[in-house]
Amino acid sequence: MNRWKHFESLAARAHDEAGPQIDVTARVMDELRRHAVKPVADWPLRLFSALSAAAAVTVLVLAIESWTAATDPLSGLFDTLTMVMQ
Amino acid sequence: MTADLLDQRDVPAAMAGDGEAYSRLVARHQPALAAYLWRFTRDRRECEELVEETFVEAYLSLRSYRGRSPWSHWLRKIATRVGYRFWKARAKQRSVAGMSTAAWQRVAQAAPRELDAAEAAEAVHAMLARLAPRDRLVLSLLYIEQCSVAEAAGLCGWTQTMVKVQAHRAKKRLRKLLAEEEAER
Repeated sequence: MNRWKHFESLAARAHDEAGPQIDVTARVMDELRRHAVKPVADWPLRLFSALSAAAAVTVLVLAIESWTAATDPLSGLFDTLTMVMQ
Repeated sequence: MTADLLDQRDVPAAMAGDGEAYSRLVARHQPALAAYLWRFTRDRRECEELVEETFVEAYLSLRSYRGRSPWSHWLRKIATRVGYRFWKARAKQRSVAGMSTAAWQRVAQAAPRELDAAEAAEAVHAMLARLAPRDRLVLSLLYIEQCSVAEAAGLCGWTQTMVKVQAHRAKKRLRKLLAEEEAER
């Protein structure tokens, strides 16, 4: 049997190896309690994105209003010219 | 009720802060996780530490679990990361010391079927331990865990192409080591 085949057979045999019997449940829970670990909360990020979205909508509404209310800055000049030409 | 169904009940509860639900998840998954992480160390105490670290890390990342695959798959990915990190830390410490291949030499002549699984595993791990962590990881997943390329890629967070390339290089280096071992005997 060549070296590589021998290695493959050993690795396949090793696949059947059972792991050690352990119980870390108490240790894990103690560790989590000791550090008072909580799953990372994402509410500050959610709040920030909600506020950003609200601000963006407000700015958009104001911008649309300003745009519709705006008059052509050259209208004074063209009005006078139109009047003279008439 | 199957383990997956129990997980579907306990994972959301653990996310909501139910410690009991998380301890049930730990109790349910630790035998499989211990067997998996036993590939990363042959020391029982270290194995326990790796299992513990995996569960703590999993708890901290619970919110990133989207439920697209079974929780055990997601947990195994974290375990792979924890084990790989352990190997990398070990590789730094052991860069001068080297690694004994006595276990390999003991079984090199024996027919694999005559060996028990633990003996075979001891020898294979002794030989793989001489490789860089990256090579060791890909060969362990493909040949000991018997993962497909796609499964190995999922566990490592690599692309399938990367797994194939890495496996090719790792095999080349291992073949060289095996040849050197044979020449020494």
